[in-house]
Amino acid sequence: MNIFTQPFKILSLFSVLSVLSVTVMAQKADSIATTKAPDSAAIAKANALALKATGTIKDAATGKPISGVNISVADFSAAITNEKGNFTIKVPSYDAVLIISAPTYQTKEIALKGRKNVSTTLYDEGFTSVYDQANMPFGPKPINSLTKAVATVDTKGSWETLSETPDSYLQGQVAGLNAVRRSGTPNIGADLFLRGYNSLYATNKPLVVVDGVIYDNAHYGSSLIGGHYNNPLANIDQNDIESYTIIKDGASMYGTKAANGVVLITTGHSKDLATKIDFGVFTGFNFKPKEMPVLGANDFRVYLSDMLKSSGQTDAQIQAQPYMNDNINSGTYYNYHNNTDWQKEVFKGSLTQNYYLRVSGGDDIARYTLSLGYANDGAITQNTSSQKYNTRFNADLNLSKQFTVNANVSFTYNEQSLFDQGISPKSNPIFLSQIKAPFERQHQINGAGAESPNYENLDIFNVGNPLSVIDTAQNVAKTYRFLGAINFKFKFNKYSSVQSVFAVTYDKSRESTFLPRAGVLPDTLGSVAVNGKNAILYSRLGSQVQRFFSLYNDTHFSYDRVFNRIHHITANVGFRYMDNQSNDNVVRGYNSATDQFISVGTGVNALRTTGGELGNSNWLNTYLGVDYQLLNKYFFSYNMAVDGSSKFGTAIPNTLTINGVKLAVLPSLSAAWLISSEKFMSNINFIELLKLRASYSLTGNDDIGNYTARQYYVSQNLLGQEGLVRGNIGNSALQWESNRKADIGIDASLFNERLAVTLDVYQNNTSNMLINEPQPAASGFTFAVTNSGAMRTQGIELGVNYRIINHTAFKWDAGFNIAKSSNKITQLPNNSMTTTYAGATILTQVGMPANLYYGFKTNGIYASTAQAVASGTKEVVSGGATITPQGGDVRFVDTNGDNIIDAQDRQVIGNPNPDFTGGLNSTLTYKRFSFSALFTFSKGGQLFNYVRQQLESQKNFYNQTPYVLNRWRVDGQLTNVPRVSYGDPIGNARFSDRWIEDGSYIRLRTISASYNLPISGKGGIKSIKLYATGNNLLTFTKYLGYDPEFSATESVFTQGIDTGLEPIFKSVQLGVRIGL
Amino acid sequence: MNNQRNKYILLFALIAAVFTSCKNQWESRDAITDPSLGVTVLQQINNNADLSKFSQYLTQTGYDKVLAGSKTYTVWAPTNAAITAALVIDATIATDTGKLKRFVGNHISNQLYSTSLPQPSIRVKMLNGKSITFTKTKFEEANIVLSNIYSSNGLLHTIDQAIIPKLNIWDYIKSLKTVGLKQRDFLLSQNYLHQDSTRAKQTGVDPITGKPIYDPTSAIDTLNYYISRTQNIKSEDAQFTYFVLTDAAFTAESNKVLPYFASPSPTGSMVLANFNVTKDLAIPGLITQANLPDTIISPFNVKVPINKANIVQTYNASNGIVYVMSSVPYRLKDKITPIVIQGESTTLFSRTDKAGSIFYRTKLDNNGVPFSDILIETNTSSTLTAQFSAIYLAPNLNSVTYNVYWRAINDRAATFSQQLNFVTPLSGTFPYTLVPLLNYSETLLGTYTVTQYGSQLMYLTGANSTTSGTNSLTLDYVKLVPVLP
Repeated sequence: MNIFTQPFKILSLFSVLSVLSVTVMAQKADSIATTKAPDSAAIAKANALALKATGTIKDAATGKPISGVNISVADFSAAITNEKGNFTIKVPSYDAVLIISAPTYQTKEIALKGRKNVSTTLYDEGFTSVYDQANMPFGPKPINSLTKAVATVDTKGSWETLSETPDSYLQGQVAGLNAVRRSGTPNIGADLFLRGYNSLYATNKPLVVVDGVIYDNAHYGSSLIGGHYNNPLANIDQNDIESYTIIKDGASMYGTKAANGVVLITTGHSKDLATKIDFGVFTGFNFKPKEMPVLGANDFRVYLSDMLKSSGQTDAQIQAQPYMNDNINSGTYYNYHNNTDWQKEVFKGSLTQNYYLRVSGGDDIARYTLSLGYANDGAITQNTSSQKYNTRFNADLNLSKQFTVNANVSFTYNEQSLFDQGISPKSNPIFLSQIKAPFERQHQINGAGAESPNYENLDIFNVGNPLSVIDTAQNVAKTYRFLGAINFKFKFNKYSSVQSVFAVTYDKSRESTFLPRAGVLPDTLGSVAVNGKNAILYSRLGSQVQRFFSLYNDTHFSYDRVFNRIHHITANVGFRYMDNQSNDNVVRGYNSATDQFISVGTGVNALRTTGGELGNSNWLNTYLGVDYQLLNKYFFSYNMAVDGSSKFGTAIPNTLTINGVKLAVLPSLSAAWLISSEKFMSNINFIELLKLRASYSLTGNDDIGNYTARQYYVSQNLLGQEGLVRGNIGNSALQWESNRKADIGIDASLFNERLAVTLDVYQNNTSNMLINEPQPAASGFTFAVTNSGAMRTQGIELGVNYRIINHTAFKWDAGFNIAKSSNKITQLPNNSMTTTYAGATILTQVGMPANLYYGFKTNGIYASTAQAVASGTKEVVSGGATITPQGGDVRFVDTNGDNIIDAQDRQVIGNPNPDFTGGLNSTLTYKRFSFSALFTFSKGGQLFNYVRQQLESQKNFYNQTPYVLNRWRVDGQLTNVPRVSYGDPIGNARFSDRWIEDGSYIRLRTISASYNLPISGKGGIKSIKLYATGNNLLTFTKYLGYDPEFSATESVFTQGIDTGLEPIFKSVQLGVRIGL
Repeated sequence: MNNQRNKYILLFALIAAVFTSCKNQWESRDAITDPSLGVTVLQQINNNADLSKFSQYLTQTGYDKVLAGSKTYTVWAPTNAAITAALVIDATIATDTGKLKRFVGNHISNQLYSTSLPQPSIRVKMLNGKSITFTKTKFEEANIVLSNIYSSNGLLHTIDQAIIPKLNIWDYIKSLKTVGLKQRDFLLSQNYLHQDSTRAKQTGVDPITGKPIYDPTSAIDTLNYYISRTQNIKSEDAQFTYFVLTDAAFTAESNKVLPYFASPSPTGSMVLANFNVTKDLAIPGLITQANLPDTIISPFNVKVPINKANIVQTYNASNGIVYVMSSVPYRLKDKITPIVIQGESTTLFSRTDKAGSIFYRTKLDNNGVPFSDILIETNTSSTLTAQFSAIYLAPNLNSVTYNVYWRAINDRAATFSQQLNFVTPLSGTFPYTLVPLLNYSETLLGTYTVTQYGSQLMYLTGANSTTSGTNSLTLDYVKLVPVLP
C-alpha cells in the first residue's frame, strides 16, 4: 500500500503547489480578461457563423407543447419557445449544451451531440431528475456533472414525518446508507453506517456538515441512564432541513474526518421575497407494542416447582413456600394468587403533539427564514415522554453586489423523561415486567385481601416491582444546543470569491437520575480495596452535565471560470480550523433518607462519588479542490487535504512533517465520462444520460482519542488513599486511521428520464486501524492503543427510480435501493481477538468479517441420561471441572472431536451484518391527493436475542416464555427444550446458536396521505393541507422479540445484540398545515 | 375496463392474503407440540381405562381438584385389579371416607419423580404424609407397570398393587395388644405435655415479671422424653429399625441393670433401668431381616446382640421395620460402661482470678498421638495459690464400685503432687499422688464406690504450697472403670 500511496501523496503535494500557482496566475489573468471582454467577441463570432439549432419542448405528462420555456447556451445565446413549443437558438457549435428551464418545470440540459434539431419533454418541478442540483461542499452543482458517488434527498419539507430525527429520516432513502434505529425511544435516532464499517474502535459515523459547518455528532461520557444515548442529531429539527447530500467517496477535502463519508445537511433558506407563513399542527397516537408472550400464573407455578426441585429443595420445603400455599386464610394468599400481566402495566399507548411555524420572506437586501417548533412526543413506556423546543433563524443579506452575508442560528432544547433500558436487570421496567412472577401483585395487600395504594416491594424472588420504578424513579435528560454560523462571502469578480464561515457550537446535556429504594433490588458499591467505599446501595441518585463548546472557521478562496466554452475550471483552496472543548461531570449519590429525597445532594455524604473527564482538541485542515470539465462531457475532480490535529502523535513515521508537527496528506482523484453526450450516442434515444464514474481517494479517521497519543495519569484509590497512576501507554506514533476508497459507478437515465439507475461498486481499505493491542501483564496494562489493524470493505449499491404513471392528474413514482457491503479484517496483531458484550463473544479474525458471533453450536438435546452417557461427552464447567450431561441437557457440537465440550469447541455461529439493506418507496399523486409509502428491509443479518436468552434460560426464578412448557421432563421425552436446571451449572443457556436468530425484516416504515384543500385564497389563507401518516405499521419478520431493529451501542462489536431496549412501535399521525 | 378492475381485485386479494398469512412468529413456536403436555396428570389418569377405579376414588376424595391444579404431582396409580385386591385385604377402605382419603393420598406426591431419579432408591413423601420407597421398578412392594407418562403438571406411573397406608413405628408400638406390653407401657409413660409458646395464644402479661401469659389450653403438645432422647420414631421422614422386647425379655434385661441405678425411690430406679434397656433399641436406618447382623452398634455406641431366631414377629412400618424379640441379651459391660472425664473439660475452678495460670494444651504424646489436657501452674503473669482446685462434673455415675485411673502428663521441670476427691473438696477420696515426669500411661489411683446413680462433683487439687512448680496441676483425663461381676 505504501509503495503506491507514497508517490501518490508526493505527486499530490506537487500538484497542490502547481495548482496554487495557477490560481494565483488565473487571478491575474482575470483582471486583464475583464478589460478585454472576450465574451462579447465570442458572441459576435457566433452571430457571424449563425449556427442554429431548433427543437420542440413538450410537457411530459400531457404531451402538449409548452410555451415560454427558456432555452440558453451558457454565455452565448438564449431563446424562448413559442405557443407550439418550438424554438430556434443560435449555438456556437453542434457540440453545445442547451439549458432548458421554465417555471413549475424541471431544469434540464440537452447535449446537441451534432444534432440540429432536438426535442424533449419536461417534467414537473418535483420530479427527481439527473439535472437537479446537489448541494456540494463548495456550493451547488448539477448532479449530472458530479464525479463522485453522491446521493441527494430532497425532504420537500417532510411535514408528514415530523417526529423523525435526521438520522432516522434517512433510513431506506439512500443506497448504501444503512440506518439502524437505536430503539423506539423518541429522539434516540439511528446509527448510520455509510457503506458498512471502516473501523473497529474509532467511529463509523459519517461526518455531518450542516450549512457548511461541521456538526459535532459525538457524545462525551456515557449516559447515567442505562441504555440511553443523547443523540446530538436530535437537535436539528427535521422540518428545517431542505435537503441532504450524501457523499460516499472522495470526500478528501474533509481530510481525517471523512473516512466514513459525509452527510451534508442544508437547512431552508427563503428563495422568495414574498412573506410566507406556514403553520402545522399535528397530533398522533403511539400504539403500545405487542407483548412478549410469557407464562401465566398457573403455568409459572408449575415451572417454579420444577425449578425449586432442581435447586435441591425438598418437597416439604417447596410446599412450605408461601406461593404454594393455596389456603385462603394463610395470610399470604392474596399476595401470591394473582395473574398480573406486568407488560400491560408497563407499556401504554401515548399521544404526540407537534406544532411548527415557519415564517419566511424579505426583500432584495435581506431574506430571512424563521422557524419555531414544539413537540411533545409520548413514548410507549409509562411515564416517559419527550418535549422538544426549537427555533432557527436563517438570513441572507446582500450588503453590496460583492459582499453577501448569510447567517444560520439555531437553538434547541429537549427534555426527556426516561427509565433505564437494556441490561439494567434491577431497574429496567420493561425487563422487570418480563421476568416478574405473574402471581405477584402490583400493590401491597394484607392477609384479609384489603389492598393498599402502596406498591408492593421486592418480591420473594428479589425481583423489583416495575411499577415502583415507573412511579418513583426519575431519569430526566435535558439537552440544549446552540449553533450559530455566519458566512461572509466577498466576490472579487465574476470568477473569484473568498468565503469565510465562523461558527460557534455550544451544547449541554444535563441528566439527573433517581432510583428509589422501595421496590428496587439494592446494589452494592465496589469494595474498600477498590474505592474506599463499601455499602449496600438502596436508593441511587445521579447527576451529570456534559458540555461541548466548539469554534469553527472555514475560509476558502474560490475560482470558477469557463475558458472558450471548453474548459471549465473550478478551484477552491482554503483551510478549516476547529477548536473543541468538552467536559463531563458526574456525581453519584446513594441512600437518600427517604424516597422523597431525589436530588443527588441528599445521598449519604460518605458514599458520594464524583468524576468526569475533559477533552480538548484542535484540528487544522488545509484543503484544495479542483474540478475540471472538458467539453461538458469529461469531468475530473482533484481534492486533497493536509490535516494537523492535536490528537496525532509526535513520532508518526513516514509522514509529512512541518516544524515537527505531523500532518496527514490525503488526496483524491475522481473522473466521470458523460458517454451520453458523445456524438455516437446521438441516435440512441432511449438513453437520456449515461455516465461512467471512477474515483480513488485517501481519507482518514481522526477519532483516535484526544489524548491517546500522549501519556497521562488517572486518579486511583488504594485502601482509602487517593493517588495518581499511569493511565495508559502513551503511543507517540499514534496516527489517524487511513482509508483508501475506490469506486466505480454508472449513472443512467433512460426512457426520457422516466427510469433512473445508479450502480456503484466500491472497495474501502482501512489501514493503520486502531486496535487495543493486548500487552503483557508485566506492563501493568491490559492493552495499548496502536495502529496495527487493517480491514477491507467491499460493496455494491443499486438505486432505481421509475415514474410508472405520468399524467397531469395522476403521477406514480417508485424507487428502489439496495446495497450490499461485506467487510473483512486483513490485519490484526495476533490474527484474532474476541470481545464480549451481553454474554456474547464476538470474534474478530483476519480473513473474516469484523464481528462474528463466536459460540457453541447445538444439536438438539439428549432425550435420556442413558443417551447422554452413551455419547461419552463431558462438559467443562467454570473452574475446569467436567460434568457428564444428563437427559434434557443441550447437546453441544464437539467441533474438535475430543469428547470434551470446552472453549475449543466454539465456532462462528452467526454474522450480525445484513446481506442486503435498502428501501422501497412509492409516491402516488392523484389530483389533490398524494400518497406515499416507504418500505425498508434488511436481509440476512443475524441477531443475538439476549432477552430471549433470559426468558428461556430455565435457570432461575425469572418468568419464561411459553416455549418452556415443552421442556424436557422425563427420560425418553422427545423435545427440543432442555430441562429446568437451577443455576445452570452445565451451561445449557450459554451463548450458543439457540439464541441466534434471523433478523431479516421488511417493514412498512412510513405510509402517508395528504390532501390539499381547494382554497379560494380569500381571507388570507393561501393553502390548507391535511396529512395522515402511519409509522412502522407493518413489520414482517421471524424475529422473536419486540422488534428486529435496534442498536445497543454504536460499536461494531455490539451490532445485532438485542439487550431489551424500548422497542420501535407503531404510530399514526394526523395533521394540518396552513399556509398564510 | 372489466379486465382492469379484475386486475385490481386480484392485487388487493394478494395484498390481503400476504397480510393475513403473516402469523405471529411466537404462536407457532410456543405451541405445545407434544399432546401429552397439553393435558393435566388428572386427564392422563382419566384417559387410561385401567385406572377407572382410582379415578373414581380421586373424584370421591376431592383429589381430582388437586391434580388439576397448578403444582406438579407424581401419581402412582394402582390398576383396577390392584384396587380390587386391596379391597379384599381391607374392605373398609371403600366405605370409610377418611381411610379412603389416606389410601388415595398414599399414591400421590408433590413434584416430579421419574424412574430415572432413584439411585437405587429414594423415599418419596406422599400427600397423606407417609413416605414411600421408590425404586426404578418398584413403588414400595408394588411393581411399576407403566412409567413416566408426562403431562403438563405431573407424571403418572401405574402400579400393579395398591399400597394401603402403614402405621409408623410409634403408632405400631401404641397399637401393640399382645406382645411387648411392658415396653409399650414404659414408652407411653414417658409422654408429657408441653406448651409451644410460639403458637400459644397470649392472654396477658405478668405485671411482675413482664413475661407473657398464655392461655393454658392452647398449643399443648404431647411430647415424649424417650423420643426426644433417642430416635424420633414418630417421624415419617426417616427410617428406623426398632426392636420390641417381649415382656419376659424386657423384665430380664431390666432386672439385669437395675442394681446399678440405685436411687432413693424404687420407681425411679426402675424407670432408669428401663430407659437404659430401651435406649439402644431404636436404630436409624432400615435393616431388613435378611440383612440383620448378629450385633448392631446403637447410636449410644452400645452393642446390641441380635439373634434372628429370637424374632417373634416383624412389622413393616411406614417409617421402618419393627422386630419383636423374645430376647436381646445385652452384655452388662456394654450397658454399664466406663466413664472418662477429660482434664480440659473443667466445670469451674476454686478461684476465678487465675486464668493466667491455666493452659489448655494440645500436644503429641511419646507415640505421636495428639492429646488435649490442662496444665495449671505459677508463671510470670499469675501466681498460683496453695491447694488450687479444678472442679469437674462426673456425669451419670452408676451405683457400682469404680476403679479410678488418671493420665496426668508432667512435662515440666520438676515433679509435683496432686489429689483427686469426689463430692467434697479435700475429703481425701484419694491421697496426694506424685506426678512423675513424662509418664504417658494411666495411673490407678484406687477404687471409689458410688451408692446412688447420679452425677457427682470431682475435685483435682494441687499441693498445699505456694512455691512455683510444686503446686502445679495437670490432667489429661480421669477414667472410672466399673467393677462388674
